[in-house]
Amino acid sequence: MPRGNPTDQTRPSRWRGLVVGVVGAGLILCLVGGGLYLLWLRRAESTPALRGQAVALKQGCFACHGADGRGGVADPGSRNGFVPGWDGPTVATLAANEDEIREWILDGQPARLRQVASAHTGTGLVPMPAYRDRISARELADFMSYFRAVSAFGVEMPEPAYEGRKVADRLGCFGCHGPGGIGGSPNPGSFKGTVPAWDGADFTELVRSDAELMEWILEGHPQRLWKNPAARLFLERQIVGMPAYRRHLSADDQARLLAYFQWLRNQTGAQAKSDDSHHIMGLLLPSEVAP
Amino acid sequence: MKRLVLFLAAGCASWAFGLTNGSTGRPASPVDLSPQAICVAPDGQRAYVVNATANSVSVVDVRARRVVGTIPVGERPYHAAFSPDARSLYVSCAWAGKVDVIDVAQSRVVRSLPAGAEPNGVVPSRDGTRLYVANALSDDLSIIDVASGRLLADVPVGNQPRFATETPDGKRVIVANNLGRSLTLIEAASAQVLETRDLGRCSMLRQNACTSDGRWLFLANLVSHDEAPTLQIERGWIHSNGFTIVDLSRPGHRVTMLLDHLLRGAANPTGLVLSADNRRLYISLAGVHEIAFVDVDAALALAAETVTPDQVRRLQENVEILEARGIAKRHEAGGLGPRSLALSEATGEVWVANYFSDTVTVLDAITGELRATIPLGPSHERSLWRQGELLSTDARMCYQNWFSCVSCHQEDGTVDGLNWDLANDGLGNPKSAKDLINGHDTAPAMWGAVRADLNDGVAGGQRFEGYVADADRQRALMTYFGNPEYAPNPLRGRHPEAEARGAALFVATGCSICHPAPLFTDKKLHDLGFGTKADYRSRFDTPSLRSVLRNGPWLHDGRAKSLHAVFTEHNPQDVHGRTKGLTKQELDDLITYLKTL
Repeated sequence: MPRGNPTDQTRPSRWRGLVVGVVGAGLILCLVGGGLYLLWLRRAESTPALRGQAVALKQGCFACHGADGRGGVADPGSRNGFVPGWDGPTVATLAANEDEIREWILDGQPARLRQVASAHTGTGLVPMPAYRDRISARELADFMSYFRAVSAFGVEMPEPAYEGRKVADRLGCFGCHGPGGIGGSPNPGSFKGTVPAWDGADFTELVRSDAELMEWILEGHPQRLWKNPAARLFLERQIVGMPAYRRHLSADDQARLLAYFQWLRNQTGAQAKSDDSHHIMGLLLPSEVAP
Repeated sequence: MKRLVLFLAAGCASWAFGLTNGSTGRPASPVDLSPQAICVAPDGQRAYVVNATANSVSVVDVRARRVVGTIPVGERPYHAAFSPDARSLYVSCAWAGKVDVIDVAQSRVVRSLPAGAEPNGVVPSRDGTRLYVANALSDDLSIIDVASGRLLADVPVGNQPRFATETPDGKRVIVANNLGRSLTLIEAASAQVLETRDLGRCSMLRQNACTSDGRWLFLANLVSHDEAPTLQIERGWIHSNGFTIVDLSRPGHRVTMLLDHLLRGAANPTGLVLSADNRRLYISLAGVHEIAFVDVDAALALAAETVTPDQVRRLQENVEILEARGIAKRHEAGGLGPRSLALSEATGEVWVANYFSDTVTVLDAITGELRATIPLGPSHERSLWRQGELLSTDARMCYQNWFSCVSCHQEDGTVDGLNWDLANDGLGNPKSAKDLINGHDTAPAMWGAVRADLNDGVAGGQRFEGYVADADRQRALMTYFGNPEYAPNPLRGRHPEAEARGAALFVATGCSICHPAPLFTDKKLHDLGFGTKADYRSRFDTPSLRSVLRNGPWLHDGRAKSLHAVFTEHNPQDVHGRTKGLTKQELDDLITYLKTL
């Protein structure tokens, strides 16, 4: 006759249930945590220039100055018939320095021009509004970062870097990477969902060296990421792939581009430094696979 | 309100002028005389020497060889000529904007005739009724009725006319456009331009004279090879130096011959005089302190052999032929900076005005032997500034003496109006010669900012002339160029209302942002779309607008031939000042203001 304690039969199943429950909960927690972590990794980058772009959008600047301030709408009655764009040379005819740009934004015109401008530059139908009561100091600071990236106005840039910026502009880099390389253009299917910025923290993850930067530019991707299955997955499914410019860049222009990137990275300084995510990302995108 | 604006603009303008013209670089003491021009009276008794920086004319007794009097004249006298009856001496006073008339018998100025902006060469007509005056700054020839002092006509000519000549029949006046590479032939009676004769690579067109039969014109000039990169000094491949023979009976004709030797340049031909028998021509070589004696018959024979355009070009490049054929000989002037000479036919002598020695030297007109040196004033040690001025004109500091600083920058530190392809910023991208008077306080230097400052640029200039920069020379040159002498602007204040409107526009159109007073430059590089592929750069240094009127043609490669063109033809993006939409009147006002800077 079999002997046994009925409680002996129920105890293992109870423990098993408990274990299964704990493990299950742990797994769910891990899954949720992992998911959250992935979402965090894929969060959109936020630089002052990108925030400034959002400010410009919110305040309606582009309605008159055109997308990214590239050129304005018609302004009948003004001397040259158009709302000015934000390209550096045009800006340099309207403002002596960045303080005057702030005056344009806050007061609609710098004090220096108040007495002479209306008499001699004509009165357009689309006057510049005064934003003094509508924009916070933080928003203005962010906007100025964006404006600086768009216009390069008042930015002291050594000659090779300036010429590199011209090369980037000529090749259309700023079309996807944003004015001055601030990034943020949508790119469905990519890891972050946007085209990466040149002045943010993500850059250090994607570009580990000058040689790797030139790989990006000349070949469209660096071998380190191309050989990594996870990275390659995103590189292949993103809608906007980085073109390979090898046939369109002279050695001189490559050097100029490099000078611009080096200058830009030095300018962005602390903001561009690698943060902790770099090391965490390192787990996903190990540098060991780099060529 | 409008009046207030104009008042404020005028106030700003006056403030800026006060700052820019408060002082001159020339030391007050010692007073250098700087004999710039000389003429011997037709009776051969007296020589009259124009002292450019002493505002005087020295009267020299030809036989006694000593100064017998001094006549004060207007500011910065430049040139002088006798009336046909020899009773009057006309002296152009460049900075005073007039021609002083000296009564020879009374030895004093008895009247003044109004001229254009910066009168240079003066030419009395042979009938004595008219005076022709070449106005270097207003680019025109004034025709003045001597009796009434009335201006009969202002004839527009080429860039910077300095000297003119009347043909012996009195029918034509020939004007040498110093920076225009051309002669303007004018019909005297109608004051109409008959012909503008292109002189090819000739530049810095200076004194000229016509043979008594009216057929040939002789002209002192440089040949500037701005078509080639400036890589070779030897054989005159940057500048060579000589004279041009023009057949006035054949439209378009000219033949240019070089006074250089194969291994020794003849820098800066400046003064020129022709003997009464038309057989001997004398040309002062101011940069090498020599006088060239030219056998006219032999030179005309060589000119007759030179027919086709290729032959004209090859002769113009031939630095050996005149010496080889014995057509020209060069003699020491006996002083430094011989800028002008005159013939004393009676004594058979060439009289030379030596700008930096403050002397007149007397040479035998046949042998070139130095017969006498006549000091025009008490001798004094040259100031460091003056040493720098001398060096700026002195081709002895150039390898083989081919050129001096003034070969490109003139004696007043401005420009030669040519584009030069220097090797310091890559080849194939010629740029307009930049003035040196604005370099001292507007670093960086050069259009592409390839020199950190004036000091760096001057050292580069010494190397450009073929030698390692010498510290003593550098110190003198920096003292001179570092304290430049700004000529007064005769256009300032002529049209006060237009100037005030222009000054307001200067601010409203954004000009003042990159060209702020008092330097009229922000000393920064800007990209206004002017760069070409050959420039290797998009940004150029913002030039100072002080004396901008003197520095044309404008923009980094001289593409704008007039100040109007700067804003019309060459401002398509409307970023070199927002000048699009300005009315003609407004643009004129803006230009009027710019010309006063």
